[in-house]
Order: sequence, then C-alpha cells, then structure tokens
Amino acid sequence: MRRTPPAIEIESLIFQALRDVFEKMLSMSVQPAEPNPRPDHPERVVGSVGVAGDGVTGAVFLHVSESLARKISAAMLAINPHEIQGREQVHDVVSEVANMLGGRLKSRLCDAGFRCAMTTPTIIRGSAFSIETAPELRPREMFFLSGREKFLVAVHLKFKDAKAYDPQSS
Amino acid sequence: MTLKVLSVDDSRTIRLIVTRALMPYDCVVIEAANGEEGLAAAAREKPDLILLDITMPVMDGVTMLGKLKEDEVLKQMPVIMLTAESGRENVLHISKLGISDYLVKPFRAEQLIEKATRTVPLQKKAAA
Repeated sequence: MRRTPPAIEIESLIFQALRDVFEKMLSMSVQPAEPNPRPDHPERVVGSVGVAGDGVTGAVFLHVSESLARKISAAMLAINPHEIQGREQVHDVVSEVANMLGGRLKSRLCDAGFRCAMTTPTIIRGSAFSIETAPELRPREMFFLSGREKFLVAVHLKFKDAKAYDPQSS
Repeated sequence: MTLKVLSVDDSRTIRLIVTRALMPYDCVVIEAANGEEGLAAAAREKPDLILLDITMPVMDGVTMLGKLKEDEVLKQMPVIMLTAESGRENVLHISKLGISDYLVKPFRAEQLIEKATRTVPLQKKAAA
C-alpha cells in the first residue's frame, strides 16, 4: 500500500549505483560532470532497461562511446581491450551495467511504494541517432566522467503522482 | 570432493565472472542462460550449489526457483540468488522463497566466494 511517497532523488541514486558498479566490478573511477560540452561520440553504444508497474513507467539509458564501452568491457572481463572478441561481448557488458542501474532504480521505486517490474536489457548502437520518448516521460540527463571520457545516463519516468518525482511540480 | 556449481544467468559476462571467481576452488561450473536451461541442467547435473539470477528471458529466476521447490529431489539444492535489486522490498520477497542466501549486483569476487563458502564446503584446489 503506497502512502505519501518521498521525492525520488534520481541524480544521487544513479551516481551511487554507477560508483558501485565502477568500483566493485570495473576497478575504475567515475565522477559527476558538467553537461556542457555534451559528449559527441562518433559511435555510441546505448544500454537500456525499462520499468513498468503500478503508478510508474519509464526507462534508464546508459550512453557510452564505443571506446568507453570497450574499456568497460575489458575491465569487467579482466582482459585487454584488444582481446575483446566482437561486439557481442561489449553489448553483454553494457547491458549488464544498464541492468544494475535499472535494478537500483527499480528497488528505490518499490521501496517508495511504486511496485514495478523490470525488463531485460536492450542495446542500441550507431552513430547519428536520438532516442525520442513520450513528452510526459520527462527525461533527466546526468553526465559523468571516467578518466577523460564523458558519458550520459538518462532516466525517463512517468508517475501518476508527479510530486513523487519532482517535489516542485504542482 | 569436487563440487558442482550451476551458474544460471542470461549475461555471459556474469557467468564468466562467476567461473573465474571459482577457478581456484575444487569445483566445476556448469552454465545455463535462463531458467528453463537452468532447470534442465539442475535435473541432469544435480549441482551442489545453484547461483541464480532473477531477471532473465524465457524463464526468470523466481519462476525457476518455484519449480525447483516443487520437485522432491531438486528442492534440496542450495540456491544463492544474484539480484541487481537491492531494495528492502525485493530482499524481503526473495528471502521468503526458500533460498540459502542472496548477493546483490554489483559484487566483488570475494563476496561471492564468502557466500558460497558459507553455503557449501568449498575448498581451494590442492597445489599441484
């Protein structure tokens, strides 16, 4: 039974989740970054998971450059980047990182009373594309740095009760 | 005694991390990519320990666990759930499913070994 849900602090939740993944499974550092200049990657790998349930729907998108995707993959698999065999290994690792971010978000939503389920991850890869979602999903974009590589996590959520997401909304 | 560990996860990366973490120990790791394959492998291989992911295509980990618990032979197998969901509600839910333990992703290899050692008599391989 949902009572008065607290505002969900998406930015700190995502940063903590990312820091956990980077420190525990990649032995890499990560820190928040300014949005500008926006990362402009010639080739992008995007891992996403969706959440849907009672009172909330949405998705988490992890956008990384091809080169950061390979670095992350090599770190998680404990191999050198040149040892990565094909795109499938990279896709699997980026999917798993997106899955861990989505899992943390889903947990927070459930604990706040928004019971929901999570989808299995999907991957989008390409050079010149944008992800359009329904305007009511209200995207939040968060930028991070790992080494010199800037990357983006976007969270799109729609609540029946908008105050749960943004305490300033009426 | 060489133990059999069944790793059920749709992520090849996680199965690889599990296999690598268990490499210094006297065990063989059997892999399955979803709950359906996991059930078949459990019935065929009779593992000493099952490491079971929750969110998977075809058949998820909770469904697989339910089916294990319905089987007179398979229900005795210890299961450690691997979950990306660390929330209070999820932890309460999975702890009621009759599992031995659970491990939240992301995890370090040492955390996996610690949980596995608490559940089954995992021994380091004898030096050659």
